[in-house]
Amino acid sequence: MRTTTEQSNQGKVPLLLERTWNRGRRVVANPPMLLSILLLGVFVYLIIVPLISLVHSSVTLHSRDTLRVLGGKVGELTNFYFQRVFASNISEVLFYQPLLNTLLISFSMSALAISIGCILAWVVVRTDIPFKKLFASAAVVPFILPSWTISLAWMTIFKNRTVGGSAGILEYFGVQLPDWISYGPVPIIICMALHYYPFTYLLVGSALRDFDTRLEEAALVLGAKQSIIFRRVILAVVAPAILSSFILTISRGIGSFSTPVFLGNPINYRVLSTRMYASLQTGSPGDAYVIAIVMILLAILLMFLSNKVLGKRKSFVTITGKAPKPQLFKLKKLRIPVTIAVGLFLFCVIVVPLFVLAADTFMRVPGVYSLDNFTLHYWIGESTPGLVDGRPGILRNPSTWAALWNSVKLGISASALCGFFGILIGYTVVRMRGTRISTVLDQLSFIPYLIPSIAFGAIYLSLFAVRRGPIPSLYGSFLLLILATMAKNFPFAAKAGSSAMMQLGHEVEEAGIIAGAGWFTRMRRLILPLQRSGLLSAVMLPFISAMRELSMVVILTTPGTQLLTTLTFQYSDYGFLHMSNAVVLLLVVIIVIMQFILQKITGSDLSEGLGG
Amino acid sequence: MKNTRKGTLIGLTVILLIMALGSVIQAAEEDWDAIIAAAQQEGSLTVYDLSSRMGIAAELFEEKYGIKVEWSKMNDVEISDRVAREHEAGVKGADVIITEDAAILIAQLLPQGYVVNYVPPTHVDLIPVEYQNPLVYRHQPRIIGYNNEVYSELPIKNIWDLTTPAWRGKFMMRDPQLTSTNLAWFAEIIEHADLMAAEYERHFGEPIELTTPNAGWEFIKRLANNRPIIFSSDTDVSEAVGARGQTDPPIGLYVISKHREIEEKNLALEAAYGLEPIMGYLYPTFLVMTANSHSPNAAKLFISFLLDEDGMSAWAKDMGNFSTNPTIPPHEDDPLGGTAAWAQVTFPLNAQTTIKYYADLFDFWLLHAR
Repeated sequence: MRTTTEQSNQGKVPLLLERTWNRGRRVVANPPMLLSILLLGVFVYLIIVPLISLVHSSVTLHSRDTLRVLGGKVGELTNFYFQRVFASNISEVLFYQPLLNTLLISFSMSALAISIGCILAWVVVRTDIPFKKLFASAAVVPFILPSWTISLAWMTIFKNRTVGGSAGILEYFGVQLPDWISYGPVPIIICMALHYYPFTYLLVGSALRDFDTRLEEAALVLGAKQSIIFRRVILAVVAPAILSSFILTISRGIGSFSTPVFLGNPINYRVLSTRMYASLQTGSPGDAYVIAIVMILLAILLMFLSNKVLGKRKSFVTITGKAPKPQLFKLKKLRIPVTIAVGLFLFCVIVVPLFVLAADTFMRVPGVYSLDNFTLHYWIGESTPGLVDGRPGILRNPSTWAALWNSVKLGISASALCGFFGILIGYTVVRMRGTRISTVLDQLSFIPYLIPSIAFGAIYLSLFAVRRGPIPSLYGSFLLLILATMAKNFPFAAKAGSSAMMQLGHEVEEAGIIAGAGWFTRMRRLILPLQRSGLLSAVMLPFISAMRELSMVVILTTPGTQLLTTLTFQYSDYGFLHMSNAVVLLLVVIIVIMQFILQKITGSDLSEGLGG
Repeated sequence: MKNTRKGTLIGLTVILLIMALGSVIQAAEEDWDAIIAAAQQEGSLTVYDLSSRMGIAAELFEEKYGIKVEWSKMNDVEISDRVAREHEAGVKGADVIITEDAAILIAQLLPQGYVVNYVPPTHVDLIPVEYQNPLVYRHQPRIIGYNNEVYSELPIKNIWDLTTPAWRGKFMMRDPQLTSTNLAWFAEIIEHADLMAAEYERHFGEPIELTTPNAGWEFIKRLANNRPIIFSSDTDVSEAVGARGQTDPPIGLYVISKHREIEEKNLALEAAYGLEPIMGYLYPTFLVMTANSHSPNAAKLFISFLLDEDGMSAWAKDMGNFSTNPTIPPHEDDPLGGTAAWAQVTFPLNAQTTIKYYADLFDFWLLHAR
């Protein structure tokens, strides 16, 4: 292509026209090229335009604020929101305090999650602890559960009477709890760490597993002290895994919504995400959009910094062939206590929360834990006035089934689209490798990952709330949920698609070309069948994530498009914690079944191999 | 008006004829039987409401007319936001909304044309004119209540007591940011600043020291600083106040109709009768149809139904809800016997007052309630 350009530089106008024509023909005749232009269009529409719309919405006056900005007209340009958020008498409430809280929670939570993950990974991978298989698969369960499961359980156990309502189990048995245990940063940090430690556990675990113990032995032979071996050998090899888990964890922390909303809101402890949600809720979308912009910038900054740090690190290539079976650390006397400790920990983060939630759903009067208070009402009861406003039990309640059906529908349609686009993106990026458009596509597909879920929801709300020229208003439609869920999951789909395609040599397609197969035939008969497993993982991950997503959809759902996740949120908002718990349990059952199917189909296990 | 002109000048008779003709045409448009028939053709309608008892009214309506009511419970802000968005989007959404957010309704939803005020011909002569624009279908008192298992009599004498250290962290209310009526109540308190100042002096024996423009703002600031406990529903508040077996129960602000649950939930609740200068507020609930209604006839029929005894029965069967239809008497258990009496012991809300203070008040609360 370079040579054609140079030649045509010497040409005249007719030549230039011819060149354009030729180029156009080449594009049409070149399916990957055509495809990449189409995909570029999709990305611009689903990612770039919404981002622009977010910025636009943050500088235009919204309807309710005509009561604030006197004489202002809806839709006119204004710096009112930026001023309100950054430099007004309520900036501290709207922005600075929530920002500090967000940073405090994200960093502390990451530190705690990483410590738990590292310890657990080391114990499971490198010691002679028994029940390895069981521990290895149990350790990832908290991440499979919806992220607010543990917070709901925490509330059920540790809630005190400060904010009124029925108290938790501990208070029922006469234990007085101070506020800082019941609500606010401490429980938020703990609950989030317990949800996110599996990131570290998986990454560090696999680094430790691949770690050649002969390096350790070599250091020992060279006379290094244990502390030096740990610092200079083990830590140096594991450090990149820790760093990547730090990035994964903290970026989730910044956007995290459900845990702070359950455990922070009762005492008015706000982080950026919950403050943003409150602003949307209380009819100040302008403030919310400004906060969303800050959240996105914060996430991008973090990613940028971590890339700097990660990029600078020396990488250790340990080419020794297959590492021998690692020498397991003998726990000796500590073997039983450590086993009990790990078992107890996993019991406390998996079994206890689920059990507590389940128990709570059988109590007729919330907070009274006695047998004569037992009821199945919240599961199968008929509508009784005075109990949860006359709602029937969740299994009898049409709104549960409607929400379940919506969740499944959303999961299936978003993940099918994701799989479709994932393969197309993968195909295009790999086939066009080295060209600028391939790089741009690759990077564009990554953007949704940088944007915290709730901010992503806000972006879509800002774009589709009203009709803008050719872009229809999709507010309240199911299509909006599908589009947002699909776009949010683009990064995973694209990754799965391109890594699958990467392994497929060009030869297969060339063979097809020689055999005279057109592009569509090649796709249908060659590429897609060969990519079945890649397609599957590009589909299943978005499906599961759609089933348990809350923070993005919470601002996009309307009464007609209620999902299971938003239903739990709504029940807890009404103060029907037991209804909310029951729906969460239903959700857990579904997710666990889905996860099981996923593992059976793909034959892969998240924790595979870590058990030794 | 037409009657008085009858039998005057011929020229006027012509005008009258034209007017009469006009009104005949209007009456033809408002042929109620035709509306009922058309409504049944439409088959269903969507209602956004704040009250969970809409479920009962919806069933009664379906029973009577065979028209299905799909209703959603949401708060004021959600209702007005959704209606505005649905209108902008031109999608099928709510047909009827029931809102307590008078300021937004009058300053925005009506003038922007998102909703239209409709008084059905069945009730236009019945409902007092002051409740017709926009149409109010019921009133409710939201009152301060206490736990009468622990307190044999009202534990506070004056509303200013809520700002004292003794009640720090022990006053419960719905979130004023989400509950437009609570914010509107604050607006009334500011409007009655002189009364608030006088009450302060009478109660504490010394004039109030202001850090804000007047005693109304000062009350709100002190109330906010006194760490009130914020809930999202009246149910939560009334249960937390009235739960038995407490030693140090809170005081709460909730709709008095929650007293209907005293027996079912075994609560110990009493309203703060005699609290100076007021024991709460009296607020209107508005009933309007959306401009873009996809089932306009069903919407009209439903509005008429809620003004009737049938529709109102969902609320009127318990104490604490007053229809604006004078043929529906207050509940026999009502301790005061009607809205006029309640207006004496509460601040009745006024939309213009809310609009006046809304912008400042919202941020003021956000700033001080931490």
